[in-house]
Parts: sequence; C-alpha cells; structure tokens
Amino acid sequence: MTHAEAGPFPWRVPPPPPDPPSPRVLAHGRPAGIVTRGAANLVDIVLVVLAVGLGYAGWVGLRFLLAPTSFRPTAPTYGWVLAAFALGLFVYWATAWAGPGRSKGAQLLGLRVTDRRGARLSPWRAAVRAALCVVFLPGLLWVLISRRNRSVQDVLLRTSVVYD
Amino acid sequence: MGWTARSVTTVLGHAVGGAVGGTLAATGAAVSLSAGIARDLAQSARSAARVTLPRPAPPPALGRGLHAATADVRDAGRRHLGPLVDAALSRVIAAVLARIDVAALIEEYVDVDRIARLLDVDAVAARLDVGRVVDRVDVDAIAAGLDLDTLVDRVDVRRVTDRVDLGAVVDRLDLDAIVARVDLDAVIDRLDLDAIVARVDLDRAAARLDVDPIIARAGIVELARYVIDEIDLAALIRTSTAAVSDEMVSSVRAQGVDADRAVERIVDRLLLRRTGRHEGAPGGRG
Repeated sequence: MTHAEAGPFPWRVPPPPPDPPSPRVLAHGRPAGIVTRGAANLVDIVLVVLAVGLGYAGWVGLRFLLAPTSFRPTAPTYGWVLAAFALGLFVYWATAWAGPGRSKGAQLLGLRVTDRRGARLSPWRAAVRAALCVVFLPGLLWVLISRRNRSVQDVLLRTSVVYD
Repeated sequence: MGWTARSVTTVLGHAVGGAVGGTLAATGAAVSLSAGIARDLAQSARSAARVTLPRPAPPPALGRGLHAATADVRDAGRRHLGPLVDAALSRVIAAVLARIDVAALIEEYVDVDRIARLLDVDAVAARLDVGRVVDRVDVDAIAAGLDLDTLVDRVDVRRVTDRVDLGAVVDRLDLDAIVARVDLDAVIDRLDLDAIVARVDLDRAAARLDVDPIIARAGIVELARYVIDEIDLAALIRTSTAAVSDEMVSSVRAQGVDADRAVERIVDRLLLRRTGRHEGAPGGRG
C-alpha cells in the first residue's frame, strides 16, 4: 500500500523493508584485499610524511626562535629524511597496531590488524610487524598470491588484516 | 266596567298572594275572572228577571211558570254568555299582563332559591338527553364567538402542567417518527453554533477526556515515521558535515571491498584457480 492509497492517513502505511546489507557489512571479519590494505598504507605514509615535515618545520622554527640572529636555514640530507620517515612510520604503526589495532589509514578503509585468533597484537609482535613493514613494504604484494590475503609479514608473524 | 277592574285587582291580589309563578298566576287569575264574570252575569239576569217579572203574589201555577222561565233564562245565559266571556277573556288577560311587570312581581314576592332547593336537579339531569342537546348546539358559532386570547390569559398554565403526567404522554409519543419529520438541517442552520461553542467550557471538557485511548488509536509511531520520511530527516542529518564524512567513509570502505574482490578475481583467474579465496584452513600458511 502506497501513500496515495492510504487515503487521509498515509502514516498508517507499513514501513518499507530495510535495505539489503551492503557488501561492506557482509565482509565483516574476512581478510582484506590488496586494494584496501595498500590504500590504508598509503594514507598512513602520507600522514607520516606530513607529520615528519611538520616536525621538521617545527624544529626549524624552534631553532629560529632560540637564535634568530644566527639562524641559517639548512636542508636535511636524504639519509636523515629517510631515517626520520622510517622511524616515524615504525613508531606510528607499532603504537597503532598494539593499541587500537588499526592506524588512521586502516580506520579510513575499515581494516583491523589481528592475530590468527582475531585478538589484538601484542606490543612486541606489533613492533616486529611494524619494522618488517617499514623495511620490506613490498611484502604486501603477497596478498595477491595468498589465498587468505596474507602479506609476507602476516605469514611470518601469523597475523591477519581483516575488514572491521 | 268598574266591576271588571275590581275583579281583576282582586283576582291578581289572590294570585300573587298565593305565591304561584308568573304565568300560572295569570292563568289562575283569568280562570277566576271568567268564573266571576259568569257569576255576575247570572246575578244580573236574575236581577233583570226580578225587574221585568215582578211577582206580587202570583198564583201557584204562575209561580211554577215563572220558575221555569227563570231557569230557561239562566240556562240561556249560561249557554250564550260563556263563549262570549271566553272570547273576551284572552284579550283581557293580554291587556292585564301588558300592564303588569311580572318579572318585578316575581322578584319581589317569589323566593326562587327556595323553589330551586325543592327541585330534584339530579332527576332532571337524568331525564335530559344530553346527546340531543349537544346536537342542537352550534359549537362552531360558540367557538367563533370565544375570545381565546382572553381565555388563555386567564388559564393558570402552571397548575395545568403540574397536573399533567408528562411521563405517560412521552411514553405514548413516537419520537422516532417525530424526529424523522424534523428538518434538522434547517434547525442547525438557525443555530448560532459559534455562540454555543463560546459558552462551552472546553478546558473542563478536555480535562475530563481520557487521552490515552485516543493516542493509542492515533498511531503516533506510524505518524512520527511518516513525518520523518516526508521531511527526509535522514537526508537532513546527512547534510551535516559529520554525516557527510561518515557517508564518504562508508562509501570508501564499500568501494574498497568491491575493489578487493575485483582484484582477487582477476588474480585468481590469472593463477587459474578454480576455488575462491579464504577457504584455506585457519592458521595455515598463506
């Protein structure tokens, strides 16, 4: 019965059936694919780059405030930049996976890092996984091959990334 | 005619003194009058006979003849003067009655109340044929001559209504038929509903209302759902920044899942896999 058929009391029309659940809801708890995991990592990397850049800008500004007369802008070497980026990414991933279980990129894409039982990672496992991911980021591509969507780091540390 | 006037006066005096009704008294007086006249006439005849036939010592035979002649004269006077007196009597009575105020005489000498007390009114009424009396009454003429306004003004309507058993009257009324004949639309048109409603204490009436059944029947939940659907409250909420960001995130996540599936299918086809993913044993190596 539509509203037009309901006459003067259209609110007596029974509510329409709820929408069917989205694929996103149906995929809850299943291993995530390469696209979402890669996008999450990309978001995390961008965030870390921004954070490192802001950190460096803050450091430079602090130096200027402390000694404005002797301040000379210097460009950091590539090694320092890479090291700072790697360190920042390691710290960020380790704390995120050991804490809430997901970084901001994973949160945006709706992912969560767990162990094989679905529990949160222990701090050491999170730190090792973060280190492995920073050192060997292409290990993520193993997700394409793995039947259970596991990266190299997941295979080594018996972890999993699932849809949250 | 002086003897006649005296006789009439005497007779009337006797008649009135006898306490008889007006007409009966007059009739009695007339009868007495005729008797008196006849007696006087006979006496005159005897006097005339004595005058015309003196009897100075008549012989016995002559005496018998005179006696017979006298008897003949008396008999002739009785036979011939009677009709004459009767003829004159009616005129005399009419003349007498015309000169007398009979009503005044009755009023003065007749005790009508006493006579009325002697009357057996019940017997008279029992002998009355009321139907015939009523038939002879011209009710229409009486009704036409009545001043109903004056009569109605003199009627104590309250006493009348107090004596009326309105319950019995109402029980005998067919109110359905009466109501069916009433033009209610016309009645309503003549009513000043605004004035009536203005006199109603709506607050008091509303205070006595049991609102719960009304709410139960109104379907508040359905109404609220309908209103929310009509104003598209979900869309309103989605217009807020947070809702938009949530929708974007949900969209990104859903699209990410779809992209994962698509890539997985492509790779599986390239790897010639016949079974899908996620079917390995838990904990097995990927």
